[in-house]
Amino acid sequence: MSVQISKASPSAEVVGPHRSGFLRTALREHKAAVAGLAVIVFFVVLSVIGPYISPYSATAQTCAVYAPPSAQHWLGCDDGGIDMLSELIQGGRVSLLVGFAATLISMVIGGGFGILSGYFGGWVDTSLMRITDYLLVIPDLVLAMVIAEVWGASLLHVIMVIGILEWTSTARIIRAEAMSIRERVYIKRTRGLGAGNARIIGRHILPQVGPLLVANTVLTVAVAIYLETALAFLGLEDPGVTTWGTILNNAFQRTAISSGAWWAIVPDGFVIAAVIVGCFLLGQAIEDTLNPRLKVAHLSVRRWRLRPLIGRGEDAI
Amino acid sequence: MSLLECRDLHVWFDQTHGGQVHAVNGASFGLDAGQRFGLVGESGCGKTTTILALMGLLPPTASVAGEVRINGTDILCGGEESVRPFRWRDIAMVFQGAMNAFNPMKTVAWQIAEPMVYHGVADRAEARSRASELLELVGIPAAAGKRYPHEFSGGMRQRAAIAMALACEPKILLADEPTTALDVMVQAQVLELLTRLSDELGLALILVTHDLPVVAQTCERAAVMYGGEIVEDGPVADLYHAASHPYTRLLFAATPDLYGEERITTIPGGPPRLDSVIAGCPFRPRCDVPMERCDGEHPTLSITGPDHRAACHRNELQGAK
Amino acid sequence: MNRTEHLLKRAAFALTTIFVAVTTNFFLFRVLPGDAVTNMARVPHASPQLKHALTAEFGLDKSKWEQYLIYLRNLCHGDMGISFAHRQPVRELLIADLMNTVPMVLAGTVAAIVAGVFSGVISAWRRASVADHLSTNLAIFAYALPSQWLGLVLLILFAGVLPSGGMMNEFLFEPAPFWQHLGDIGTHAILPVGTLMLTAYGGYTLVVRSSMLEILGEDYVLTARAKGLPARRIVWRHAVRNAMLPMVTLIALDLGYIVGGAVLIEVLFSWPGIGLAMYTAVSQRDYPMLQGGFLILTVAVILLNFLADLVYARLDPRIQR
Repeated sequence: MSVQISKASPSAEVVGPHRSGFLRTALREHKAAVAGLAVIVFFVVLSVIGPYISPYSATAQTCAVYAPPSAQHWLGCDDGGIDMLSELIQGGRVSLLVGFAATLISMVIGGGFGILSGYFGGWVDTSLMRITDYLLVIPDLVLAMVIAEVWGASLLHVIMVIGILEWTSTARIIRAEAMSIRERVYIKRTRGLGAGNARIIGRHILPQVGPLLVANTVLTVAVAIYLETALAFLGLEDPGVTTWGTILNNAFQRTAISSGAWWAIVPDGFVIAAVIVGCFLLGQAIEDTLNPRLKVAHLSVRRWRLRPLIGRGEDAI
Repeated sequence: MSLLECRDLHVWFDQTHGGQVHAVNGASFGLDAGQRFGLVGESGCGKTTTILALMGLLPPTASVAGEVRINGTDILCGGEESVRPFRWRDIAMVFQGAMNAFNPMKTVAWQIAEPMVYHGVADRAEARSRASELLELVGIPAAAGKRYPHEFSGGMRQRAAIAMALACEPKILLADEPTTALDVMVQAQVLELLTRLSDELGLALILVTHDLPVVAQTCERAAVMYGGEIVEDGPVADLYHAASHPYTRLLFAATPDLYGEERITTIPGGPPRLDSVIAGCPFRPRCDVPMERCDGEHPTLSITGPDHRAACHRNELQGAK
Repeated sequence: MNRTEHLLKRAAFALTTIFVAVTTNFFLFRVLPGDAVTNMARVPHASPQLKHALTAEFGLDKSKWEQYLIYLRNLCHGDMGISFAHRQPVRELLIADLMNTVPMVLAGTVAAIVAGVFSGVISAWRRASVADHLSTNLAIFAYALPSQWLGLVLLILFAGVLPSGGMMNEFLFEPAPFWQHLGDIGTHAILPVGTLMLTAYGGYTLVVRSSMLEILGEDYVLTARAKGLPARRIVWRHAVRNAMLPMVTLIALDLGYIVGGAVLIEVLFSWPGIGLAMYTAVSQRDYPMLQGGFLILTVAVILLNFLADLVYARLDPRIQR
């Protein structure tokens, strides 16, 4: 499980050979990117080593029902007397797995749709983009609800549902990029030299869109985790597994509110938000690095300054 | 007292990764009512920044030193708020590439009338009829004012931009490359319009351009900028025929003359970087007649003739003789 | 682009999308392996009579193609079948639910747009200030926090102060005065509407901020400043109008997200709307209801997208009449 997680994480090995410094540039120029990456790495590491550092069992009763936070149980206990901290660590493992696995699916579909559509153009583009436009207007949670229900509640189904619903924005962005790459001179020359489509896509287009795909993937992880919590809250997740989503669902279903057990709710939201914010900041920073918008504002609350002139000419600096 | 007086104007821009660019370095010039003044030089030499600074239209990264006086009043002394009352009422501007100078969501007439109403020059109805008059004045049928900017052609938009600049009857009009991106016929019309307006309305005009024939055709006086400094100024005829700075001479040589003879030469090299202090003459690396002195000593403007100044060590040499 | 042509294109897209949604609906429930209707064993209260009725209603003994035609014909007559659980026509049940959903979602979305535009504009205008950092970070967090979590936290915070669920007090004497009734619904609506607003406002803030930053770099903003207009007027009269254009599109694209949030919120606060109906239908395996709810929500989002196209065409003068 942990192997899969680290494989899908936006580490340097996913980065293609071209514009390979983009991650480093993003981290150097945007402080937010460093914070985002740190948060993601923290949770990934926590998921990997979770079972070893988890203070209690995430499934067995170790204290009183809805016991408030204490020195033994830092985040208190839930309705089954299960330690919240251990449950959060375990939930994170599954939630991140769902997030990364679903993102992997959506990256493959979205990247594929985008590249084919942008590279070939014509009717391929028209038909693929029709499908994308259609999925874009369908309310995704509602469709996910229907599909998850028809297929039956299970972790695998949740991953698949999210994966096949969240690729639309990836496809559109990659399509635009692939279209512009297709028009570049060296691609045309390569084609003139007799290279086949498969070769051009594999050798030139794919490495070029790679960084953008990574940026988008990081953003998609956030959406996937968000959608998982929603599906779990609606009871469409396998009731046997613990995820950050099912923790919220349990708290809601089992009178955490009337018991005043805020500790069964509040920390869960913070960890979900932390991961999503982390992905958001990193993804945004990479996008800004790849596609900088250098417009200077003509209007800002900050204004130009007057400064006294000391000396003349070159001394004035 | 001149109508507009710019004294020892400096502009610096903060850079994103620390450091500053000294974009305008001690520019001084004056302008009387009805006078047409040209500001020439290659791109990146500080022309546009200079005239933007005259109206205080600088981004937050800028810092400014020096004085800009209109009828003796220093308008920059209180920052943005002290310039604002003077904008459009005393000093107005026609921007480079008027394509984007109009808000795409408002009609052209609305945008011409807006400053009149805001500055209390006219009420709404008056402003509307005056906007029509102004459009007629620049040769656009008044009815076209009801249309949106994207419906105008490039030349029409540039005319409309001039009409907009005249809304509050300013005394000084700044025109930043008003003819680039227009085709030759329209260029000539726009220049003719500017000249006529300046004659009829007694407008003082500052024309910023890299196009020397345009200056020769329109202006009485001109200043040549290089590396953020004014390196020579004087009557246009003098600059043309008796340039006292090698840059001016090469600049005129680099453009085809008015008789259309093809003798385009370029000045090798590019303008200097302005993010550090230049010890000697900024033009030294590209100069065709450098001297030893030019390496270490920064030349300052000195009088080389009646109403004619230049910043070149060679002139001092000749003066001494 | 011609306006009529543009709108016809968008209308055609909306219609095909609705058709595709209808067909998807059929496929999901009847053709895919493990589809719902034929897999009657999973329906908990499926008596032989019900099975017989279903077979007749959906034409389960006929070919898929014929079933599809029957399904289309029924839909055209507004017939969405009979709810398994309620034994009532799905259409009437869902219309009643929709009447409860629409005001709640509308109030929440409008509040979110107002808050988002306001904080986004302030953020862009005061870029890199403390206010900007505060508002941007708050927005990112609001955007990242799951709606159901926000709702749960609000429930804890307002426990005992505001009603925790439902749309009205069941014990309120039925023919109560109209105003009392409305007030009761209002208090019940505060938490759901507030949660929806918090869910959506962050995204709007970020979108408005980035689109405002883009606009503030446009040349016409510099023109407006040159006209001597105060910053407040430039922001609200010139920039915001332009920034609203991409907003209209993005609000439309975001509708799916809003609907998803609304489903969660209705479940959380047992607000008797279409989302709660779908949730209940899931647990009761009431497929006709689920199918109907999906169809109505999807068609609503598609129609609202089309509405956004109309609004856009009306706002942007560049799309000609």
